[in-house]
Amino acid sequence: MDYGIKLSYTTAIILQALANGYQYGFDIIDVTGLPSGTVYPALRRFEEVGLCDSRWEADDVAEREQRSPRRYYELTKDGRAALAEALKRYRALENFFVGAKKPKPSNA
Amino acid sequence: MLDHNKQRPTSLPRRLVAFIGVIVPRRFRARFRREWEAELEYREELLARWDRLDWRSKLELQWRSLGAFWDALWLQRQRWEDEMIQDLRYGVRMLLKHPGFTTIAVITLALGIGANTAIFSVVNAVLLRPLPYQEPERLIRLWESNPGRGWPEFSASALNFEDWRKQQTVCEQLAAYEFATFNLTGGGEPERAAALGVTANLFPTLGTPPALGRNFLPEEEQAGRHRVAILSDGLWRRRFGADPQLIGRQVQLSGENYTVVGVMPPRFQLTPGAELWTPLVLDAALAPWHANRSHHSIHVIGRLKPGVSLAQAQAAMDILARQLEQQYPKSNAGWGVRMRAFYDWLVPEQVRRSALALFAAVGFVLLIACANVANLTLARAATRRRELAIRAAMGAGWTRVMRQLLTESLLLATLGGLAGALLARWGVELIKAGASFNIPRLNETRIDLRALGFTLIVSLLTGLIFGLAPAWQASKLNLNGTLKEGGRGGDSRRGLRGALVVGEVALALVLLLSAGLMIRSFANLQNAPLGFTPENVLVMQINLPGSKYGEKAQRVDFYNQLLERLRAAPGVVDAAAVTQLPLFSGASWAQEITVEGREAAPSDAKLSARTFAATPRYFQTMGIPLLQGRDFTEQDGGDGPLNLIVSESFARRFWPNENPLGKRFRTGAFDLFGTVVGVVANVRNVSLESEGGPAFYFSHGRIGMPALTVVARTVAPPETMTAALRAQAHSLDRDLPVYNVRTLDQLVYNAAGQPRFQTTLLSLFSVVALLLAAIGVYGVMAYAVTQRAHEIGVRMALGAQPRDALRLVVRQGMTLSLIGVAIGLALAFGLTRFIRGLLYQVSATDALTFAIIPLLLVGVTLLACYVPARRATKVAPLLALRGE
Repeated sequence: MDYGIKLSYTTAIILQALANGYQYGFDIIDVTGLPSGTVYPALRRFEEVGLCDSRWEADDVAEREQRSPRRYYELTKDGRAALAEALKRYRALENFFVGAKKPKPSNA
Repeated sequence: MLDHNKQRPTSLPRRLVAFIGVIVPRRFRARFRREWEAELEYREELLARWDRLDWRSKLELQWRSLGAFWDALWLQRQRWEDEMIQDLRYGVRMLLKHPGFTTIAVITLALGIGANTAIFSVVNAVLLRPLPYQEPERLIRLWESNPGRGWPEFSASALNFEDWRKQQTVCEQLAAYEFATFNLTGGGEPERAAALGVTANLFPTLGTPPALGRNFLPEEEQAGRHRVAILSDGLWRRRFGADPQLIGRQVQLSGENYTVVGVMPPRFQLTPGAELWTPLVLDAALAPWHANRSHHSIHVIGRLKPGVSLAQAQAAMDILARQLEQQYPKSNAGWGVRMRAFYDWLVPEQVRRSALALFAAVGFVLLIACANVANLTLARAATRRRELAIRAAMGAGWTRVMRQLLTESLLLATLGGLAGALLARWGVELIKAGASFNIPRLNETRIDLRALGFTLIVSLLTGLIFGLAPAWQASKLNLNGTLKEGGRGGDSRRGLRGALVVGEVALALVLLLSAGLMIRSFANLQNAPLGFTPENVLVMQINLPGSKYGEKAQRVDFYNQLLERLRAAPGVVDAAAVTQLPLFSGASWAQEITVEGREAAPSDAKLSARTFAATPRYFQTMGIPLLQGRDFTEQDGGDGPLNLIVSESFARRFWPNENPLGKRFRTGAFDLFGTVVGVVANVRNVSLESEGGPAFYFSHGRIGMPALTVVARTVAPPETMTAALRAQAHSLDRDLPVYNVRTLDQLVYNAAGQPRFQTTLLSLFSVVALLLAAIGVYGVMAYAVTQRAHEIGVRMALGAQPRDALRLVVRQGMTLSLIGVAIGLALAFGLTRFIRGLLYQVSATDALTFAIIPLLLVGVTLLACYVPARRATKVAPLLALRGE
């Protein structure tokens, strides 16, 4: 299936990070170790072709922590399908983030 | 939403993100900054909590925030799309806001683009599209050639063709065809089918196999096995209901049974009108004329071997022709071989020139349309100067403003292109229907992808051309001046608009002059003396099948009876028959002649003349004046002494200062001396332009040709007599097809088909050009009047008369028009010689045309100036001043 994007290893890693609950750009940078100049354009591209959606953090959460609301990204159905297909190709990825700390859901 | 930024100290990464945000397209800028700042903030919190200002973390954070730059770069892509959509949306709004301007511009462009697309489609089909044969560039056409007698391209004799085929080394294949006609009987009305006898290798040479069934076999070229036929797709559908079972069945052709072995693909056409093909039998037993090396009736097509050039082939064939000349001096002396590329033969020079002239003409129309729309856009740009200046003052760069203007122009051009494509579709149908003569390959014309692609490119180029001028003007706009001035136009703009009008007038004049020359030429053609009186004459063709009318006496008898019945029919003044009517451009019968007493004269060694067999009263029926002597009588048809009637040019050529009556000459066909008993006026035998050289007539009764054209002069309009005269023929033989029933008037009308066609189209285009130019002049002058209303008002207030205002405006307009006319005349002197080949008895710089047409154009532009000038006289002095 064509997802409007090349399912490269890097792409797969970012998709997998999103699937495992890493939702903010910086968190993804942290957990994948990829440079920000790779992660952000990839996220924009995912959003453009519909592999992920973005939303803003709820105001009250941000206010509680006395900072601006962050923008977070979530995989869409297509995004999950793309990831599933990428995982067929890169089997090692499946366990990539297992054991990494799961960030707390921020949008309570 | 809270603004947290104010409470935060600004760090370097944050400043970096703010700075990078500048290059992000505006639509994304806020979100971009917000996201990056929130992330940095969040990270600062974390960092602050864990370790206050660890230098490595700090460096890492800065490095990370540089990633915003890549993000920003990625978003650049959106910028163009965004602004384009913005420009488009704005453009659409502007066009809708000025429906008058938009409509006029779109119509103008549609005319220009439509005419171009239509003519391009024709040019594409006729000139550009490759021939529908395999490797058409290797196909050639061969003729016998006798330059000494003025026949550069003449059909070949069967024996010479066979020798070529055996001895030549330059062609892969050499194929031939010969014209034939059949009476198609059985199953419905008997009809006449134009056919070709073809060698078995003709279709393989072309590379076009039958769509159904098989090709002819080589052995089917032999007498006895030759009764097989391949049908055209059209005939197969029309007469046999596209029945696939027809293959292998028999059809009746001129009373004999032929087996249908194949059907050619649709649109296959080698010679116009041919609907079926049979094997060409060169066997003299079946076709005795093929045994005569002097009988030229074979048309030859070859396929060059790969790598052989036309010149090499020609050289090789020249040697072969010289050998044949030595071998058969009696028949072949003076005869050579000539070959031409197949395409050059199929699409004659005349047609190519005509198509290109029309293409140039529509190109001119489009240029004029462009100039007009550019003018309109400029006029509008003048009123928009304030708007543009404000946009510029608000921070839109000049490139942005130019892009906006270009977008609007391209939008207009695209609309014009769409409307033009519709117009073109309609125009192509009109052209196809209007061409009453044979333009090769015209039936292949259609608006295809290539034509639409051409339209698209032309539209976009058009948009660029007329959009560029206003955009360029806009770029030179002086911001402060414009805002202060209140949007009134400057001088350079007026200059540009004037130049455009001058160009328009010049181009229109060239077109008008060309059309004028064509019209003059066409009028000359219409007035050319025909040599006969075409009114009230009905013509019809009859071909007696050999199976039923094998004997000469039967044929002579049939025609005598038919003519007697016709003459006796009510409403018929006279009737006669002839082998070939005037104005026949196809192959005709010419014979070698030897004038008595001049056998030895070398210059007259080989003379030839067009030959006609006619029944008595033919000249009278046709209205061809008998100048000297007498008409044929029944006795001339017998086996007594051969009596001949010659044309005036024949008599003048061979007996310039003598009485031709009683003179004798020998003709090739009879091989005996005939005596001149009469002289008739010259007749346009070949075309309206040409008589086709000396001609002579003999009495039909001497040979009894099976195929004749019957002519009947009637009292009533001849169209009304068709059925009655056809019935007379059928009363003699019910199975006889009577075909090509027409009036002589129609024949004459059709003979002028191509000149009429190109004259009509060119006139149409030049009228459009004239109208567009007039609109252009009007537009500029109307605009000038509004612009100068203030000045005129002041003049009037100071005592100027309305007459002065009128003169002021008219002088300005006429100056432009006259400069245009002068340039146009110069252009036309250079350009009209390209249509010289299309003109008949008119010089390409005909003085009358070059005198009258510019006057016409000046008159029209004067009118176009006058209307706005009148308005200028009505400027009320006070009103104009108060307007300030």
